[in-house]
This record gives sequence, C-alpha cells and structure tokens, in this order.
Amino acid sequence: MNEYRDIEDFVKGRLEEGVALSPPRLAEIERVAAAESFARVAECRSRHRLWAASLVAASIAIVFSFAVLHIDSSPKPENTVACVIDLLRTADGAETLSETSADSESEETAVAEMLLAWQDAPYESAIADLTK
Amino acid sequence: MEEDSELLFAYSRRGDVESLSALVRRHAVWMQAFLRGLLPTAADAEDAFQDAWVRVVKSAGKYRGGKVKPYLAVVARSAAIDRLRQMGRLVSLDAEDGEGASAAERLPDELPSPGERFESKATAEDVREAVRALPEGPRQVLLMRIEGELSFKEIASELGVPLGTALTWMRTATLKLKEMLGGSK
Repeated sequence: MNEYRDIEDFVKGRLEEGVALSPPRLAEIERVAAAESFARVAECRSRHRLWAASLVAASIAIVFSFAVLHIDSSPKPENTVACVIDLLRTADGAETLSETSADSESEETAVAEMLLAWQDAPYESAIADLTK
Repeated sequence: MEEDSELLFAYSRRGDVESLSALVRRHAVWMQAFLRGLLPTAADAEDAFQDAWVRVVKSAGKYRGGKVKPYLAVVARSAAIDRLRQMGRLVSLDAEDGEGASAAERLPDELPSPGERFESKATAEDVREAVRALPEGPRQVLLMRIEGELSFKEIASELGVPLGTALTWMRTATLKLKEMLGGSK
C-alpha cells in the first residue's frame, strides 16, 4: 500500500485542517471525569472499609480460637491432681472406695477364722485334711 | 512527554483529571477529523467526540494497558454509529454507493504506479465532502487506518469482515479519492 501513502497523507492533512478542540466540550468532559473519579474513589473507599472490617473480625476470631484451644489443650500438672482429688471426693468416688475397703475386710476375716480353726484342730485331723 | 497509557492510568487509578485533560487535548484533532468523516456535520462530530470521551471516562477503571489511539478510534466510531442510528441514517457497510454496484465491485480502473506523487488543489472542505461521498465500508476503513492508525487486522476485526475485504475497501477508498480529488500523475 506504499504507493497510496501520498494520497493518505494528503487526505489526513486536509481532514485535520482547521479542526480545534472547543473549550466548552473540554470543560464538560472534565466535569464528567471529575464526577466519575469522585464516584470511583468513594466506591473504592467503601470497598476498603468492608475489607478492613472483615480482616479485623477474622483476626479477632483467629486470636480467640487460638487462646481457647491453648487453654483447653495444656492443663497444668497441679490442676490434674486437683481434678483427681475432686473426683475422689465426690459421692461416687467415696462409695467406690468404701466398697473396695469392705470387700478386703471380709476376705481378711475369713482367712483369720480359717487359721484359728487350723490352730485349734488336732494334728492328725489337720494332716488328714491336707492330704484329702 | 508522558505516554498516553500513563495519562490514562493516572486518571483511572489516581483520579487525576488533569492527566485526562492532557489526553483529550492530545487526541482532539484527529478524533474530530475522524468523526467529521463519519458524520454529516461538524456539530454532530463534536457531540460524538464528547460522547466518546464520556465513554472512555466511564470505562477507564477497566483499562489494563495497551495502545490508546486505536482504542480511542474504536470508541469514537462506536459513538458515531450510535449517533447515526439516532438520526436514522445508519447504513450497512455493504451499502451500494448510489450507482447500482457495491463498493467492492466498483474499483477504478486506473492504478497508480509505484513512486507516483499525488498532488491536488482540493481544499479541506473538498476532501471532507469526498470522504463523506465514499461508500460506508471503504470510508470507515480509510478513516480507521489514516486517523486511528489501526492495523488492517484490527480494522477487519472491528468491522466484522474478512481481512481481504478490509484491504479491498482501503484500496477502493484511496483510488476513489484520487479520482475525485483530481490527483495528477
């Protein structure tokens, strides 16, 4: 298309001859641009505020969750001992202890009676009892 | 001097209206010349010019870089088409030029030889009249090429025609103008 370059340049030059920007048109474009820019900045700020609020809320939630998790998952040794003592002091715990104690006392009594019976029995009958 | 893209970014990102004004002033002449070629009167061209810049302003937030001048040409053409539609004067790109044959079929026989100089005493108004007398397709290709500096591929894409058609229309426009403006060999 190089052979047409002269015509193109001529036409372009003539088309642009005497053309100028009208100041009222420029003023109107600037007015619309300023209004549009203001609206865009306002929208942007509102979006940033929303983001900031969400970020703060998420941070608080994370910190809170971490704190609760930390307290639950790492009890101190003295607390554990205290919990066991508390458990033993409850009604159930006391009952369990007393039942255990009663069983062991009755066993001890039976053994003692058996020993006393062996002690009083004649030697021959005791041997006979053992060899049965 | 700041690049066009820097000025448009300054407006779209920082709201710098002064940068936009600089951009408007820089592109005012060719855009209005382009629009005068597409629209019937200078007043229509001024209205379309303003419409085009309002569109640029409203879509500036979506600008992600790239050549500004072809973008402005596309927006200006769109504003001109909307104005023609409002006036009920929008014609198809394939419209006949009033003599019964489509533009693509009516190529002048006379072809310029390489190195030939074009000379004419036609005035600015003669040239505008001649351009407005061109068939719609060749006229739009010519204006997008010489004023908007779009590539033929971009022009074809914008007009929705094959690349070959865009090239043929450009050749048609150039030869018809040469014929109408009385270029001498």
